[in-house]
Amino acid sequence: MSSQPMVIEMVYLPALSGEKCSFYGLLIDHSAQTNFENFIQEHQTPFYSEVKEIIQRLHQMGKTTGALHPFFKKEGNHAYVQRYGHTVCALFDEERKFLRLYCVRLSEKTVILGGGRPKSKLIRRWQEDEHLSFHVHQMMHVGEILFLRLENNAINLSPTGILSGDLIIH
Amino acid sequence: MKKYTQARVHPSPVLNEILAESTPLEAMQTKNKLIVASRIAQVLEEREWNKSELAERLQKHPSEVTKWLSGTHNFTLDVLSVVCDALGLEISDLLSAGSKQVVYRQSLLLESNASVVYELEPKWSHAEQLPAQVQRKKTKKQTPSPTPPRS
Repeated sequence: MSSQPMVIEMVYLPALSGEKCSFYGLLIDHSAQTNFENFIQEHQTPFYSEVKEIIQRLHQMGKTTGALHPFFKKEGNHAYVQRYGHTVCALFDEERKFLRLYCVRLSEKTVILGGGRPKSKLIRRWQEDEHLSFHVHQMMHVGEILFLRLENNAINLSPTGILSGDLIIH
Repeated sequence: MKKYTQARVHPSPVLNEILAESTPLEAMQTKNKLIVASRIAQVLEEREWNKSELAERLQKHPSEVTKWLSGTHNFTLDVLSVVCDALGLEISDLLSAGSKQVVYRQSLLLESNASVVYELEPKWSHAEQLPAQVQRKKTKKQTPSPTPPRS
């Protein structure tokens, strides 16, 4: 797997966002699509029903319930969790499902969507798969920069969950 | 005061296309699963219970409660009844979206101008839904006995 990309821009996703939660995607190295959209496109043929369900769930969280913590599974390694809490997550998946979608969940009002992959039933942890590891590490990287910038006031998080400020990571 | 630049808005034909392919029924099913899970999570939080406590009370494995709270679970009426019984709720209480303050009242009497006493059921009730939960009790309000005329 390649190392972390050069430029990551956090962009607002109006298709999923609503009154209860704002969703952001990551444009990597000036690509036209976020890595969340790439994840959707790559997997919509083999896993159409799963992809559709993921999008519907996120859309309803945006409009109706917010991104409550029980809707996600805690991920990230020990060092990250100790510093930044359980902010790197995977969207909750049932046992019979395959797709894992990773994100940084700042609160029930703000989620940064990353990428993901199908998880083999032969493994239990993301650390056992280099592709899953790549996506989790990417989200930990984004999470770390985000928290540092929030702390330095380079990024602002409004009470309604809107991110603004320096949202480009070099 | 520092001025921050808003994030760029990224319209997504890919996401819009898939959302457009979802039927209203599918959207409603997804929404209802999330609402039920969020209401249960909200009541647990208000009662300061964690999911292990609920699991223990229901003699279930905590992983089962985790699944209930995930917003993916397709509840049966029987399971919903068990959850509601443990939380002192009606099933209808789990189907309303939005944050509602849940308060516990052993007995609360509201008196109307018509001298009819209304009594709330002694259980968890949504503060915002009080009128619907009010049980009309068909007893006339007792009027104070008149003071005997002075002789």
